[in-house]
Parts: sequence; structure tokens; C-alpha cells
Amino acid sequence: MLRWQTWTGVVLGLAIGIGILNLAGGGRRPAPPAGAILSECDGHLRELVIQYEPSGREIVATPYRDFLGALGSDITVDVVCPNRAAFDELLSFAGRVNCTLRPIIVNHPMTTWARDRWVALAPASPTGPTTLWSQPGEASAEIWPARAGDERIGVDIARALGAPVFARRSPYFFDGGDFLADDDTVFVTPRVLKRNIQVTVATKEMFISNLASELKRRVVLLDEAPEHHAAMFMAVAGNKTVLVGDPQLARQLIASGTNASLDSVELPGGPDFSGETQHRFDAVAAQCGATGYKVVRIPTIPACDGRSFLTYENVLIDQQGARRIVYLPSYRGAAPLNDSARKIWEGIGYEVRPVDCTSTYLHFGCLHCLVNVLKRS
Amino acid sequence: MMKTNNLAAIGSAALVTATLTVALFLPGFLNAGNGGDSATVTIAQPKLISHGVQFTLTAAGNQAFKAGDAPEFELKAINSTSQTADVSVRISMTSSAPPNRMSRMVMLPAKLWEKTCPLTLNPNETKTVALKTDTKLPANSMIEVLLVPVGENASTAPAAQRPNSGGFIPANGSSAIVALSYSTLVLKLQPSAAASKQPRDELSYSSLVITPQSAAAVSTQPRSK
Repeated sequence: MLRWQTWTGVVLGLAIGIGILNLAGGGRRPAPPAGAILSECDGHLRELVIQYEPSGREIVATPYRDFLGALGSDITVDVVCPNRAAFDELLSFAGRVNCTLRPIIVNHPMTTWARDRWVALAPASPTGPTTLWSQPGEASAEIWPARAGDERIGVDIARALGAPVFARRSPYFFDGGDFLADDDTVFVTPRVLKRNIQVTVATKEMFISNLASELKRRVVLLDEAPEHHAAMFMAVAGNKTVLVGDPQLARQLIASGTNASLDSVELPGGPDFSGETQHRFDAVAAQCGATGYKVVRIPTIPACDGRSFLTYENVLIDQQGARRIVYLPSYRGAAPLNDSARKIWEGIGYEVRPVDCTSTYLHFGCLHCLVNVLKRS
Repeated sequence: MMKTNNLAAIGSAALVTATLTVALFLPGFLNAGNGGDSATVTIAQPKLISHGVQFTLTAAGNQAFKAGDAPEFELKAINSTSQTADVSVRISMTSSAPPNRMSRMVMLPAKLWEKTCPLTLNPNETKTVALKTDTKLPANSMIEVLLVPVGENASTAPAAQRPNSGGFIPANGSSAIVALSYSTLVLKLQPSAAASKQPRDELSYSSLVITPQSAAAVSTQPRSK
């Protein structure tokens, strides 16, 4: 027979235990409902996320300076850094900016590539939080400390920003750059299917259905595409328009221009103008066209390493009412291509703000890969 | 004296109860909500279904691979239909270089070995095919073994047309699966490198001997390109 002292102790112990659990799980909330994946081209940019790691300074300093310097004063940029010194270093080379730079110090290793860490799902209600949807684990995290740190970035941001942001892990493997969405459709690269089929999901059909349910958009899984993230070879531009890279267009431009040359542009292994690579770009264009999109081709040069792309699709888009702005990569030594790309974007109604990405593309990413979007109005 | 005994009894019961409560519920509590609600279901044995035939691939005899070994596999095909099946499947083994620490992603995979297996299976017949790769696994690489259905839009162009990735198209089709994946990569930490702020330049790679346990562990983990 238990005495009253024991019962009192049990009740007291339960209260203490629950208190400890609450303290240990401080800030954790049940997952709130999430809305659709954020469009790449609709709405005014309000809050962005970049990552800065001092060892990547040579890669990102110039594009960050160009990009941050071009942003308006009503935009906040959350700068995820391993420590305060890194944030101060970024401030030192960013120069004068109008936007607000807000540090998020994480105290662990990380890379500079913000795009792939998570995708933003819009609030399901006007007062609801934005959901950062991260994959269950980064590729190579077990042997790559910075990638292991990257696994935590979504949660780091949610903890730093509090109630307006909620971090949730997906059951599926992906990089944020594998998705490209507008307000109707999300295009998904073939590599996402490869990472998940018979790993996290049994069939392709089930995967597409589940993704559509999670992202709340029509899912177009690209059948064939260059083996890279989506924004390396295509861009969604609004009004049911996509831009798709075209190596042959770039080749013709080089061949026809009197001053056009790629001599000063580094492309590991040289440019890849092969029929097979062209076929993959064309396959993307054909599939986008078949799904009801107007397709505009734009010069792009993939290198023979299969990873370094001189791309003009890796952009950030800002819609301010009827005004559309594109932050467009440019490359030193590639003026004819830069000019051609600028005209193409202007031709579909965009105001172009160039961002020098010469130091970035040889590391297999570009402007879009460095910047993630948390909020649009 | 009586009061002291009462307080001791209450304290003991409270301590035991609080400890049990925390021990039982803390792990689940930490996994709930912000960032921890992963519900990833890992399929233990990937299967490729082609023309009604189910293919699986395993390391022969649960072989433990290390850099320098030539893997041997067993391809198992099960025709559970009531009709004879003529099917063909390609088994491709690829390797990827370790990631450049500054890069956004790893290099494209290169072909190590490839074999196409045409099979005829009677109704409800099961066949097992032994496969010797005679190809040594490179050190410091990520290895994938893919099952690619032949004649089902698995690849689109002759391999030789493409200059990158050794002229090899691993799996850009809609039906190919990664049947096995291995790593001969390992992070060899310097004695002081366990600290989270250790500069990455002090980290180096060396070959990893894959034990049966680690091979089983990594074989179900997808690795991206």
C-alpha cells in the first residue's frame, strides 16, 4: 500500500519532469499548416537569406556586393554566419547598402550556398508562419563538416526568427535548387526522383502525388534535363513563361560576333556543345512547352565538367506591381553573351540589374544558388 | 523526525518519477516540432519493376567492400506473372569524386562498370544471376550501383556523344533506381579537429574499409550528385 508521501512525491516528480521537458523543448511547436511553395517570380521581395562563410569570400564577395547594393530599403536580408566575426567581415566588403542586414549566428560549420538548404512554404493564413522545408539529411554530410552544419540551417533560422518562421523536415531527399516554382507549377529535376525512388517512396506516381500535396502546386517532374539544379538551365519568369538555356544559341553568338570570344572565360574542359547536352536542354524546353508554358531560349554554356555553367537563368526576380526586376548574372570576358541575355530579359519586360558572378560559376552555382527567399509580399 | 522522514519519502518518489519522466519522453520530445518532425521512410531493399519482373541487387554473400576490391553482385529477377517475360536490365556502377569543399555539389559520376542482362523468365520463375565486376573500387569515392530498365526511356542518346562524365549517362530516365550505394570516403579527423570551429583545411580524406555493418548502413542512404 503506497503511503500519501509516495503519491505526493510522484505528483511532484511528474510536475518537475514535465517542467524539464518544456524547458528542453523550448520553442518547439507542433507543425502549423503550410501553404504553397513560394513563387520565384511573383511578389515583391521582402526577406532574403544568404549564408556567409569567410573561406568562401573569394567566391561570394563580388556578387554579394553587387546584389546587396542593388536591393531597396524595404528588403531585409538575414545573413547566416558561423560567428559574429564573419558577419562583420561581410559588412566590411558589402559596402553601402540600403537593405537591412540582420545576422543569424549559428556557431557551427556551414557552406555559402543558401538556396539548397530549404524551400519556403508560404503561410497558410495571413497570421501563420512561413515554413522552411528541409530535407532529412544533406548529401555527403557524414564526411563534409560544412554540409553537416548546413543540415541545421533551417532550424537555426526558425529559432532565430521565432514565431513567423517554422522549420520542418521533409521525408524526401532534395536540394532547394531542385525545385523551381511559379504561382501555378513547380518544376522538379530528375535527380530528385533518383534520390527518392525506392529509397523513400515506392513509385514515381506516388512521389509526384506526395510532392503536389506538400508543395500545393502542380508538379512537373522533368523527364530529361542537364544533371544540375533547375535554375542552372531554366528560369520561371511569370505570365506562364519560362526561359530555357540554349548552348547552340551561345555557340552561334560566339561564331557570328566579330569581337565575341570565350578566350578569357574559364570553362573546365572547354564548352560542351555536344548533341547530347543540347538534347537535354531541348528536352526541358519541349516539356515546358507541352505543359502550357511559353518558352524563351537564352544563351547558356555548360562546361565539359558537367557542373560549371555560364548561365543567365540563375536569377533573382522581384515583382513590384507591374514592374519586374531581374538580378541577372554577368561574367567578365563574356560581354556578347551578357548583352544578349540582357536583351532577352528586357524583351520579356524586365528591368535588368546585373550581378557579377565571375567568381562564382566555377564552383557549380551562381546568384540564385547563393540567395534564398523567405518572404514576398 | 517524522517530518524529516516524510520529506525524504516525498523527495525520493519525486526524484524517481521526474527521472523516469524525462528519460522516457525526452528523446521524442526533442524530435517533435521545429526541425525534427522528419518521417522519412527508408525502403530497405530497393526494387526495380520492369515488364512485370521484379529485380533486386545485393552484394554477393554480404561482401564487405573496400577501396581496391572488385565487387561481386547477385541480381535476382522474379517473374510473378502468369506469362513468360523477356526483359533486359542494365547494371551500372558509377563513382563520384569527393566534393571540393567550396563547391555547391560533387562532380558528375563517372562510369566504372556496366553490364546488360537480358533474361527470359517462365511464369512465376525466379532467377539469380551472379555478376563479377572485375573492376577495382577507387579510393575516396562515392559509389552507386544502378538498375536501369532497358527499353523504357532509361537513357536517350548514345553514350559516346557526351564529352563529360566519361560519356556515360547514369540515370536520367524516369525508371532507373539506385540499388546500392557505397562510400570509400572517410573523414579522418586530426586529434584537435573534433571542435566544431576547426578549420576545414585540417581535415583530410582517406580510404574507408567498408565493414558489413557500415556497408549495410550506407547502402540505403542516397547520395546526390
